[in-house]
Amino acid sequence: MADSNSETGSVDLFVQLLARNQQRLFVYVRTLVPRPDDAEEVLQNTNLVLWREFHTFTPGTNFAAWACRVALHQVLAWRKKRQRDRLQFSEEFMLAIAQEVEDHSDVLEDRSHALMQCLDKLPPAQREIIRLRYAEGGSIDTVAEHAGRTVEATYRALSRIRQTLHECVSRALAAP
Amino acid sequence: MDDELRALCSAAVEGRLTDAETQRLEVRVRSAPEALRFYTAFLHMHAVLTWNAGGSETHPSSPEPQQLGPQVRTWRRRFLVACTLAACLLVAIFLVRSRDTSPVAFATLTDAKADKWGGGTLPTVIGSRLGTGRLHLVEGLATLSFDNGARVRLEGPAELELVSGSHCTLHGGRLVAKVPPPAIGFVVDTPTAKLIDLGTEFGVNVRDHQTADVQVFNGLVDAQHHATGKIERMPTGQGLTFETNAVRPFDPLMETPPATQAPPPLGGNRSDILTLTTTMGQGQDGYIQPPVETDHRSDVLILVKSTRTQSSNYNRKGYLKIDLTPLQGRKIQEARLTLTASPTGIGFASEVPDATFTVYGLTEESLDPWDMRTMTWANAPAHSPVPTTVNRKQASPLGTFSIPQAVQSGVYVIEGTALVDFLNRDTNGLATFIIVRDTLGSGRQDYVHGFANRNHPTLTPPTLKVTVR
Repeated sequence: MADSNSETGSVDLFVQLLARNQQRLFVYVRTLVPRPDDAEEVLQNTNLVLWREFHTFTPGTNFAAWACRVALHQVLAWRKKRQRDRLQFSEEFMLAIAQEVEDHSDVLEDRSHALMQCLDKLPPAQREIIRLRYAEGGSIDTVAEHAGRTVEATYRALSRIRQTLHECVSRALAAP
Repeated sequence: MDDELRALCSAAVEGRLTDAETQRLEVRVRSAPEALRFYTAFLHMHAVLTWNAGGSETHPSSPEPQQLGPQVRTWRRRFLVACTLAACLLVAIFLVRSRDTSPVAFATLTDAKADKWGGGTLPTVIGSRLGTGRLHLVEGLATLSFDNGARVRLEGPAELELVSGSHCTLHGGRLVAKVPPPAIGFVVDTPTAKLIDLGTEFGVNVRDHQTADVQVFNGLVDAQHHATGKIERMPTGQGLTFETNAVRPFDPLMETPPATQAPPPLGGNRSDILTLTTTMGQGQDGYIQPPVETDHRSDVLILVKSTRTQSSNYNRKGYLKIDLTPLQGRKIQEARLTLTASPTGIGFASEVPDATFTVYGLTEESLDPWDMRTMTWANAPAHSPVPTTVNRKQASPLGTFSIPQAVQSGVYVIEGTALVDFLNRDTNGLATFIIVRDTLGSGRQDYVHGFANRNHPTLTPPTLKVTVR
């Protein structure tokens, strides 16, 4: 009985910790694996391993850091599996990105807050393109169709907008 | 940042990189820290935008929130669905787990006797389901029942690795395997030979992690020597020893205890070694305790305890008297006093740390004629009310021994010049020893140590072994 209670307790704790850290984990995996379908696969596997290995996690220690380590492992495993299908970045490349994220997690956190303000500063037309692109989770084609532009024009527009956002965020962080 | 890197990053987030561009991007990013920083920040931004679906979630001031309708939260919802699925899965895994400790369990720990376990990777509670992993049995007997019907009895000390439902590796120690017909083909691997069971019962003993003695009790075993690859078909009654480079008939005389297990034998001829116990002559043993109502007494054990509690009523000290008459007039060269510990069932072992005990010799010989039947806490020779010591004017320390926390059995020894000198100085043919626990228990029902006394039905009483000239 005591055992099953503690099992239930650990399920509760796990779900709670996972929910609290899901955004962080999502963004982490997405930074390493930009393709939506690939990222989703990696995340699912990560969730499974997190649960399976949850007994090795020490409550009170940094769950996000532990989860990201597990996720990185899954990213590398996925990369190896996919290597045969198409050209991939090297493992060293992935590790370098992961290290960069880890080393500058606070800066990246600040950047994502600044990003929200920068979005508000975008002209409505550009903001609409971003909304279509991301809210749809969709392709350039769909955005192009909705925006009444060609695919290439949409792609260029998106690139410009991202550039604008990136610079806006960098300025916001550089400001005293 | 330059245009090339920007273009490559855009292509990356849109999944538009060609193979050549992938390679080029990797080279760029890995060749300069600024490029690495830019790429990471760019990809991170893309990820945050994806998560927030363009920021409309956190910004109700956004122009057309209602119009976003079903598309908003796409990623969040998908992710939450994934989480929910994961949660369902958790429940499933949890249900499976409550039956099987490991999802790939293939054996059960069905029995364990007097078992003491070391650091392994598998559960050691009776009834536990076992998958791949390692078991380290320090002491006792453990029975593993494989799902295919094979049964392995492990004898401590032993180290067994479970590889699969029909394969285990014995790294050290002994086991007896019983393999019924459905489990034929069951493999016990050892450092020197692989044993393939063809329906039988056999025993194997891996010595020093490098020699395997195999004995077939009943049936047939194929034993393949690792070094040569040669297979020996062993019928009932056959015994073979597999060394790293040779196979020879099993010789039971090879089974000598390792030197580290027991102290070296006392020197001198056998005729010069004398063994004396508290059962001989005027010998006596027992323990003293303050007068208190307690059921915690023993007729067969010498109880010893020192505790931190305010009331010292539960302290106990052990007393031994050995009749030295057989040694009269002979010079003692070596001496060894042996005590056999046995569980008392009194108190919590976790409330006593690793414990040190000191054995004192009574130097005030006029006090030697004590009698256990009339001796009390107050009138005992060399008594001190302090639980961790004795009256040092009447007795002196001869040696110490230690018992690790929670260990309740074993043989404990004191020896050395202090003991030899004490015995040689004796003039009345009687030696009194006092056993005191130097280590205080917590005072919260801490464990009472016990050593077999002269009345113990099976264990050896306190024993003095000496060599004389």
